Amino acid sequence: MVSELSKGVRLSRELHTIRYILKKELKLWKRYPSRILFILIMPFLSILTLYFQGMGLVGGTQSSEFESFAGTQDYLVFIILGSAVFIFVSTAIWGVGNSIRREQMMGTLESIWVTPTSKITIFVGVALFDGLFSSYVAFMQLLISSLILPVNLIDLRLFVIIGIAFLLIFALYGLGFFFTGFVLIYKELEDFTNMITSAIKMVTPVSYPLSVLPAPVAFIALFIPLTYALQAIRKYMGVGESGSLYQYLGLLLVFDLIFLVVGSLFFRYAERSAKRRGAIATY
Amino acid sequence: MCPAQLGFKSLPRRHIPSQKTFIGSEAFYFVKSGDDIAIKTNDLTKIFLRRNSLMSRLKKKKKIEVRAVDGIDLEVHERELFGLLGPNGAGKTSLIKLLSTLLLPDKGTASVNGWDIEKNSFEVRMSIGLTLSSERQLYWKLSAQENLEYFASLYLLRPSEIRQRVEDTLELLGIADQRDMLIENFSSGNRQKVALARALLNDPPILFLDEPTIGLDPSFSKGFRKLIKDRINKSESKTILLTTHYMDEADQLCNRIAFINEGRIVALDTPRNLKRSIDEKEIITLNLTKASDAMVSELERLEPIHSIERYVQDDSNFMKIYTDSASSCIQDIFGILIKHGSHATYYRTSKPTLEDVFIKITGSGLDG
Ligand SMILES: Nc1ncnc2c1ncn2[C@@H]1O[C@H](COP(=O)(O)OP(=O)(O)OP(=O)(O)O)[C@@H](O)[C@H]1O
Ligand SMILES: [Mg+2]
Repeated sequence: MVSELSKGVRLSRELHTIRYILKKELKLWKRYPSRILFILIMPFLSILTLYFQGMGLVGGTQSSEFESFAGTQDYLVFIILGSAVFIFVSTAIWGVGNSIRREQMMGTLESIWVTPTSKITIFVGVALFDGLFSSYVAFMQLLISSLILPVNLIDLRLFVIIGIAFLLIFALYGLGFFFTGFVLIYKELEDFTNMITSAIKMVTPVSYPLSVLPAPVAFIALFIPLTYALQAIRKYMGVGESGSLYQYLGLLLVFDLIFLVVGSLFFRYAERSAKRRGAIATY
Repeated sequence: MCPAQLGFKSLPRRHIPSQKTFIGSEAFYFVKSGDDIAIKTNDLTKIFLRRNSLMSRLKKKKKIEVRAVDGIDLEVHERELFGLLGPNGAGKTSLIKLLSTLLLPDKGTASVNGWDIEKNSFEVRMSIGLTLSSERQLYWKLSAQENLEYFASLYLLRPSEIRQRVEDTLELLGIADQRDMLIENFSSGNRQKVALARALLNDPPILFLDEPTIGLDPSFSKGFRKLIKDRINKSESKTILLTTHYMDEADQLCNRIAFINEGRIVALDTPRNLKRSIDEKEIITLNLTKASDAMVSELERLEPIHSIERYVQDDSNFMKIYTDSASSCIQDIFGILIKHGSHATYYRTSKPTLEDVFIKITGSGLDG
């Protein structure tokens, strides 16, 4: 048997498909005006909340109290960085699963599933769209903070932060594949999403340093790559963290690999299982 | 220049050498076994475990097995328009989903365009177009053109050809003037046309159409059937496997029909031969207030009556009486009804239709 659609041609076509996926997602996005309002207003709301929280709790953007356990006085910068990175966490973990779930509910999933494009291409397309979207929100948060608050986060260091966030994203996509498989098997997502996201936020040093957590909880954080990304970024920015930058980055890479492998394997298992049970379209 | 660049209309009637099959807009050939079989299944079986409610799961009740597709052997020839006719839940959609790689079989094998549905799912997908019966198979918030361009990219069409190809399929189905309208504003009929356009994007040799005219009004259906038969099956030389539970549709459209009931093929032939399998020349259909076994056996003893089928439809008792001549026995039939305290609220004499054949074989009507 010979086919003229060689591997190379197929790959290049699928790269174009990603472009069409981005185009389609953007169009769908634009047809729901409330979403646009949401993304315009959201960054302001979250940043101002963090600011007022700081005013209320420590009386400003700096705190020597905070320094005693976080290793930095810069309370506000510490949590703004945490919050910006966390945006990537929720979209990367849930983006693909949510989008599969959305297509399932709209009724279009089987039409996509039956095309020759590989699932990976579709996931990458969706993930890329979400990634761009998260970058926008995170950037807006940093920009808004720098414009209206007494902090300055928009300078060349931003590129390093983005680089570290990028490393984090691989691990998150591993988790994302895992949860996408989960959607195919269990359908249920919304409540589960909120629960897991909140749990991750609680055990990792997003809004506070690990040192405030009881030892067993802090121990769990050691298995979540987000921890190392946050520590690396803060270390680099000189706000807290006592370990070495390279150690954090090394651990991040190790977890990238583990999460990607486990996540993809689980997804493959889940897809076969869904095809056996006829569960791809049902919801 | 490859054929797709020429567009549909200027496409010459394709001459496909029997050894090679054209796939997609690519010159994508492969050598097949030399026969002209487009779809072949071997003991194809799909078993679902019916999901139980939480309560019965707690009580540890056994899961119920549903044999949606039960050992089906089928051969569909190239360029044939083949119909799967059966009542709700017969397994038509499941069979189509197996063949289009959306479901994995529990037993048996199948090949589509010469490719194995499990081992070569990529090639199978390149070889087929599929429309589902759901109205929700397209993005309602996108226009027809936006939908088609997106799906064309998923069918891995050459990017430079996508626009032209979308234009050609819209033209072919006569909906080009609605290309910029959102799907949510389409009539159900035209929505089905957009779905068909999508199935044609990659110019596949084989099409699967699941209940293509379900929910469409009769006059639209008529035109749509003609389009499927004349333009898609004949001019474009597509092999089509369609499912339906409208017997007229199967009768008018299909070269051959398989009756499918409870996951099994119970009869398979041309519509004409299927109808011929009923020797009797006339059928009397009665809707009865009451039907006892004693009454039926008395009726069966009447000389001109060959056989009787009883079935329940919409909660009413129906009876079909197969006979050589209705006029010679109708008096006697009514006599027996009265004697048994029953009477007919509806009465009709007709020539055998496909549905009669179906009822005779399975003992139940097409409407479940
Ligand atoms: N995913 C599934 N899980 C469990 N059972 C299923 C699933 N899909 C179908 N079934 C069952 O399999 C049987 C065949 O269903 P199928 O949809 O193939 O029938 P159909 O002939 O297409 O009927 P219809 O005319 O209603 O479309 C039915 O009993 C149905 O309930
Ligand atoms: Mg069906």
